[in-house]
Amino acid sequence: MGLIGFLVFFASAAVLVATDEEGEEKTDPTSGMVIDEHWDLVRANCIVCHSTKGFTQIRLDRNNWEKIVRLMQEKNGLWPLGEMEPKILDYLEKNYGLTDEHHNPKIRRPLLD
Amino acid sequence: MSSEKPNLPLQDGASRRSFVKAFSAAVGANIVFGNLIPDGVVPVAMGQTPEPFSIPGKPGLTILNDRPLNAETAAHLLNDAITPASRLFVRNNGLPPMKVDADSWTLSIGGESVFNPKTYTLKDLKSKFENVDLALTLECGGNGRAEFYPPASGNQWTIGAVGCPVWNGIRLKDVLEDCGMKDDAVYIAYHSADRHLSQDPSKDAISRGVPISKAMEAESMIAWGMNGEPLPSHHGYPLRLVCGGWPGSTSGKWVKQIDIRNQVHDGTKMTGTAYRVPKYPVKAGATVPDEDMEIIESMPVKSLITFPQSGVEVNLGDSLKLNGHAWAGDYEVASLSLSNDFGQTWVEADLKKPVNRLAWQQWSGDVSFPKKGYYEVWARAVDSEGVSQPMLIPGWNPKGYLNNSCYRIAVYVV
Repeated sequence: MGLIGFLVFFASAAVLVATDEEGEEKTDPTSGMVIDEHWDLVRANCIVCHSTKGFTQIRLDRNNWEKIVRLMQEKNGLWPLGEMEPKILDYLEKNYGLTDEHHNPKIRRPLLD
Repeated sequence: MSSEKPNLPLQDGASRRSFVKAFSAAVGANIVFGNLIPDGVVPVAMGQTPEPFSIPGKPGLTILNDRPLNAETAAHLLNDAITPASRLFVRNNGLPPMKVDADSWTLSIGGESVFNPKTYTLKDLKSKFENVDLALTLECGGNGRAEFYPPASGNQWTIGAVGCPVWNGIRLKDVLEDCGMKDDAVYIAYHSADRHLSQDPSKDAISRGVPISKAMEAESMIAWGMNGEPLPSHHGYPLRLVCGGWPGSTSGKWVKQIDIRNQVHDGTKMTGTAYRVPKYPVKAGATVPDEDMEIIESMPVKSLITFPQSGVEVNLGDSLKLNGHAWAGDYEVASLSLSNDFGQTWVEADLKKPVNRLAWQQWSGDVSFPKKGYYEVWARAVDSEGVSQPMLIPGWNPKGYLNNSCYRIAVYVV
């Protein structure tokens, strides 16, 4: 874990420099995830084993993101997140949360192509 | 996150080189020490990059996840009656084994309910038991998940996590009978050489199975080949299970051990919400207690239009020839109908019998259009039990399994 932790820290620092130069919210060029408050915690805790595509291809409400955290802890070896947990859920709810713009369940849209 | 994390075994140096080259392009730079990456190792950045890349030998597949690797096939690329390896979806729960030596590979049969536990080499299996070649439909239980609302977590499969290659191997039942089963046998359970994503050796990436009744069917196979070639590394080389018509996760890859169990198997991804659905219809978004969930068995009736591709233009007065496949889990498909008016009227297509039980069936039909404009052609299959595909999304379930709603393509009549 020591080595991984160091690599996470190193990579996070590089990303912060890159975004400071851009001056506005961006996605991390390495992972494709939104760079926002607490992204560093997600990076350090949530993508050690699996790809970020586990996040970028889905949208869930906070309750369901919390269920995923529990599943990862019960089955897949994720450690207790302590006070980081609400911050991680804040990040996921804000950036990968469920909003109407993603889907309107009452309409089956035309295909068009 | 560290460079020793391997991902994908490859079988020869040529494909490894093209693989490294493809990855170099995908990560936007030459991979330093790329020539030192051992066979079977995917560069770390691939597990994290948003850049598109392709799987060698699988042109045109849509990558849904790169760690674990999951990819599906567009409908128009599934037009072959027998799916070639290059067009078969890739589903992984964990990391494929690093080093695979077919000559030393063994399969052990054990469990509480086996009479004589045995271990076979691949050569033993090939020589001792009758060899069979069967076309069997393999579909991920989560195929169609992307259409559920509220959305479910997991790979957002659209329609392409399905295929029907010819599998080369032996019948599972012949091996089970060679070892003998006690009267209390209930379930078979596979254990495989793939690794849990956390790389914790005490965890299985996935360990599922089927009831004895399914295992003893003539179409439940232990396979070493696909379409006459050794299994591709993505599909479980050198040995896997194939349980046609059931969720693909029952067809374990890289199988090392099969246990005959005296209880319903309780391995990884047999419990909770994994490959299970509510026992009764639930409101979308509901939380369902574990004890109210049941294991998915036969997949539901479903079909695809594989020709033409959606968005096709047709001249007014011309009829449009369409074709595709239909399948129905443990059952046969009885009819396939097409509609050009959003399901108001239907015309029956020609439907072939399956080449063997549990193979998908080919259909073909003509549709004509009364005037210029935008149309959708919908396809709807009905199985031998009289059960139809729904036109809209079927019952919501927590993990978004079993969406068998009608497939459709857009048609412009000009």
